[in-house]
Amino acid sequence: MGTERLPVRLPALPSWEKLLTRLSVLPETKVDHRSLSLELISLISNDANSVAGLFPRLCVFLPRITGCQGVVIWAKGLTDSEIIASNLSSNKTRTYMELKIVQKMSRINHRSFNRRLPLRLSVGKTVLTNCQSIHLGEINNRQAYLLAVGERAITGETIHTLEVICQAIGLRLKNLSLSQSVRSQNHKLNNLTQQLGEGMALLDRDLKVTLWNRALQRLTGYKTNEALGQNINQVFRRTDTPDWLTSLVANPGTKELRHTHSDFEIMTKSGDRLWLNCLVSIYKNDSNEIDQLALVARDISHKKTLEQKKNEFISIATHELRTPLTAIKGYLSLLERSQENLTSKQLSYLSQTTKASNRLACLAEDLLRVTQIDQDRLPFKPQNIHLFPILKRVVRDFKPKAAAKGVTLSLTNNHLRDNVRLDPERTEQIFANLIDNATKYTEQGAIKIWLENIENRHGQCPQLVINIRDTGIGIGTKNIEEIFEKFHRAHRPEQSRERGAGLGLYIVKSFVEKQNGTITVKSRAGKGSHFTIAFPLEPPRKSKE
Amino acid sequence: MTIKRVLLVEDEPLLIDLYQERFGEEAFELEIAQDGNEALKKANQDTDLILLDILLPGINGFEVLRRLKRNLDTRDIPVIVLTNLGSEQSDSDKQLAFSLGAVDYLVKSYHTPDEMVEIINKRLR
Repeated sequence: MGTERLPVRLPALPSWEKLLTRLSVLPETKVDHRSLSLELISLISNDANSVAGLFPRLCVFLPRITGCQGVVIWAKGLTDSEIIASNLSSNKTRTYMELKIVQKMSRINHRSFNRRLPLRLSVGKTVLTNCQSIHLGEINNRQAYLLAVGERAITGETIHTLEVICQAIGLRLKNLSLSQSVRSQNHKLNNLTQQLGEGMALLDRDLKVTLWNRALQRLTGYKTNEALGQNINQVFRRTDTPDWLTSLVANPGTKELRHTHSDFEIMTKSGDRLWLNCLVSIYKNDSNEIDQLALVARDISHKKTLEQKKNEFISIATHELRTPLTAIKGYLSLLERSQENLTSKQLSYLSQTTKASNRLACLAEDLLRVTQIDQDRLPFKPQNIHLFPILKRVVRDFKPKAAAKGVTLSLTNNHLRDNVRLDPERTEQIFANLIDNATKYTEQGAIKIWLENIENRHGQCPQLVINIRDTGIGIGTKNIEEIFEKFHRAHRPEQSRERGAGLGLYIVKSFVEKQNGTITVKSRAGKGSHFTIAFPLEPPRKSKE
Repeated sequence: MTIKRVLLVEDEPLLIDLYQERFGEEAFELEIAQDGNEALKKANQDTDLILLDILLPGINGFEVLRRLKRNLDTRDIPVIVLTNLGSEQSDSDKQLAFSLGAVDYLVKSYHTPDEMVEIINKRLR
């Protein structure tokens, strides 16, 4: 398993040398200060010395440079205390003598430690008058102390020396626990990324792979050593647009863009195709430049297969529905031709049956259209057109239906620019659908349609905005975002007698967005709805001369 | 004036009955083929128009169309694809039909028999 390095910087080691130069005042001038200093430096700073190994050696070493004979290093826990190292006695007596001392020490209030006052301890009959305790630091979540015991009074210089040494050791302990926790975090993080069911990769700003977990190896077939250092596009080959992330990095957009996701198909190392859902998070540094990208990928091939099967099923079902529908509608039309032979009751049955079969036909067509949208099988043929005449035609078609309900349907002609590049058929369907909805859900009042030109807002190109406002039953605010979703029904059956599969607005939104447009809606239940559709305006064409 | 001959390629009995019922009133002669092979056998120099379904038993309508256009005797017969597949607006099936030489692409459920008669007579004129 490759070990991936995480960009964690360890705190700088303290300068032992600097600290220990403060040891200049060493007692007992008979010894060679310099060599002792060096010995102490190597003892404390040598990383090969484990902390456990360091303390016994320190206990032996300290009496050589200080006036104290006994050195005990011990740790105080919440419930018990423990001797870590000592030079006081041989093994036999140690258990008795030292434990007694430590027990006594444990009872002393911590606040009295680290004051330069000598402690007086009595252990059995022995009285130790010249004791000094200095705080060392934390070992295994316990506070550790150094106890120095001397035959003579421990001088201020010795205490100073001990304090400096303890500071140095304290720093060493802090460093150790820090690097241990970094290592354990690293280990945890590594385990997490490696064992994650989802594929995960880290990329630098040049899109080179810096981390590649096991799930990605499994998904793509590329091993970590094959992926590391490679451009993501080489190990993550998209079947449609190969430069998907390149453009993202080139245009990272505003500061707010941190995440982006998409579904796409890739080619694995062995040439198999795989659908992935991919989430990319962009991390930026303080100067708003891309620092690195994190990518999480999930295999959605199964879901895609199901979706495809569902779409195929709907396609076939629609086809199968259409055949009997053709027969029903066909025979009904033949009946209609000979209506002079029918009684008024039969005529009314005929009219109801025709209505029902038309509704069934509409439903089948909507279902088919949705699968075509989902499969991207509906081609758009954009042309340079004027939008107003299309709107006029649709409004004319729906006027009788609105009038029958006593609702006025009006289109304001304010002679604005209306040059757009759109597929005229699809565009007509968009407005037919929206105006049909407005007519369906408005029982009284008016449906107003008007155009607006919006120039250069937020640096965008000029827009043609089409407003459709009705005074109908409206949509409760809770539903407002969902109304464009597939199979969403904005109204419960008790709110409206109108029926449908909830596909109309999904189709509308798809048609608008496929043509670089946007659609938004504002609505209040009981007050009406206001749909706003915007398309980019084309430069006006020269009129024919 | 010679009687025009229209070949309807359709496998669905419900629709064969429907079209026969209405087309029977018209001046053209209606022939029925219930699968692709039968269609290829029945289409000849005397055929004036073919109404071709796509989903057929045996060889499908697209293949029938391809073979009709390859045969010198049948290549000039106008073929209207009459199917319940896809949509009359831009759709991949429609595009394929046109690329193979169909003159029109009609979805059956969109048109009443009366409308069909109108379309057929327009073509035969």
